[in-house]
Amino acid sequence: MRSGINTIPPGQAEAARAIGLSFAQTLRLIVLPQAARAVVAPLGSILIALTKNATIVGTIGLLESSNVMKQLINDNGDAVIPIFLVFAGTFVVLLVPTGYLFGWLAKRLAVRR
Amino acid sequence: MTGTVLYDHPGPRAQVRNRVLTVVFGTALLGLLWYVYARFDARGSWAAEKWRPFLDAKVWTEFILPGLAQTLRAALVGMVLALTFGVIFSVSRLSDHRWISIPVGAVVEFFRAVPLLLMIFFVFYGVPFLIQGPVSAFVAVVTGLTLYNGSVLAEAFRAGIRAVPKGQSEAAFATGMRKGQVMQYILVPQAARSMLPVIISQLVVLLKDTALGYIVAFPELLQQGVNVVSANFGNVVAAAIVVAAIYILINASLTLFANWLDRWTARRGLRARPAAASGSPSI
Repeated sequence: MRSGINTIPPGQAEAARAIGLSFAQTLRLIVLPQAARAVVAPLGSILIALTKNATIVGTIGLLESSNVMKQLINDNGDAVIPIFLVFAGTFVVLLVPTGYLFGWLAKRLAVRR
Repeated sequence: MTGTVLYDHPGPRAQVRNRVLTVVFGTALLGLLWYVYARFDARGSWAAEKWRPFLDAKVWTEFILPGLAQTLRAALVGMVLALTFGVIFSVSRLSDHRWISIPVGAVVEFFRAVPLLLMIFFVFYGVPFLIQGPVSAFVAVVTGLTLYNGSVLAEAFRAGIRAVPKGQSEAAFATGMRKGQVMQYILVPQAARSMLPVIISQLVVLLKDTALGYIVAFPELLQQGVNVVSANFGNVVAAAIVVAAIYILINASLTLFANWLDRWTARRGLRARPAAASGSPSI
């Protein structure tokens, strides 16, 4: 978020101050709307990373997808690759389009300067 | 953008208000810290006997240092392999030949989207069925780290290569270089320098992710320093704080090294221009 705000040229805030906007108005009307557009892509990355890192709760005992996959592999040693492809494929189907969606959104919402 | 442009210089009343707010906020922060301290204290986490094991040289030589060595070993091997993977796959994905760039792109997208833990489990539990033999935890961890971080680095390199000004490669072609030479001597070196911050932060991620190795009983720092030590001395909180300090120390020095390297390359004039667009979002 901070680097999003850092992408805004200082002239934007200076111009806002020059026409008499207060601190709160400058932030609300000028700075934050531009910053929000700049951080769409990084926020998308964080969302995707968060989804993947959710598998880590398996390490403290919850039965999430990676633990289920481990059990399935142990029970069906003859079908290791299909099992992996189904689990990995689910993440791919879910997350690759999400990544492209955020890339598209970021491009669409980018502030032209 | 500096903050001072956003508001007027504080007058007498605003100065008083700022001082009051500083005191109120500071007090609240101290109160919060004290609350955390008191909660730990109530459970006896600060008791001397919980911390005494860390004065014992044997705790360090038998648990923590071997764990640290394994963490660093996995991280170093993983870093070298991931960087290699990243360079090869980014260059292949930029290939003019569709039959190279499309499959490579699919592989990179695949490994970027699959959770690291899933890959480690597949290599550790699944591959033994396929090769009819055991796979060591070290191999499982390093393979997972390489494929995942290598794919992320490949995307970072690709963005960096594409951000090199077109004139660079045009000039190189004009001097009679071939495609491979342009990539090798002109584009990759410049991309590596401009993407240095991204590369280092990904290497820090890789180092931290070695901690996932404890799930497949890889004896790294988290396993040895927190699980084994606290199983022996019953001091989870103390052990976690000590191990966290070690991780912070390593990663902070890696970041410091990156900053130094960044300044060094800038001073040597090795970089033609400031880092350009960050490219596609890295995961």
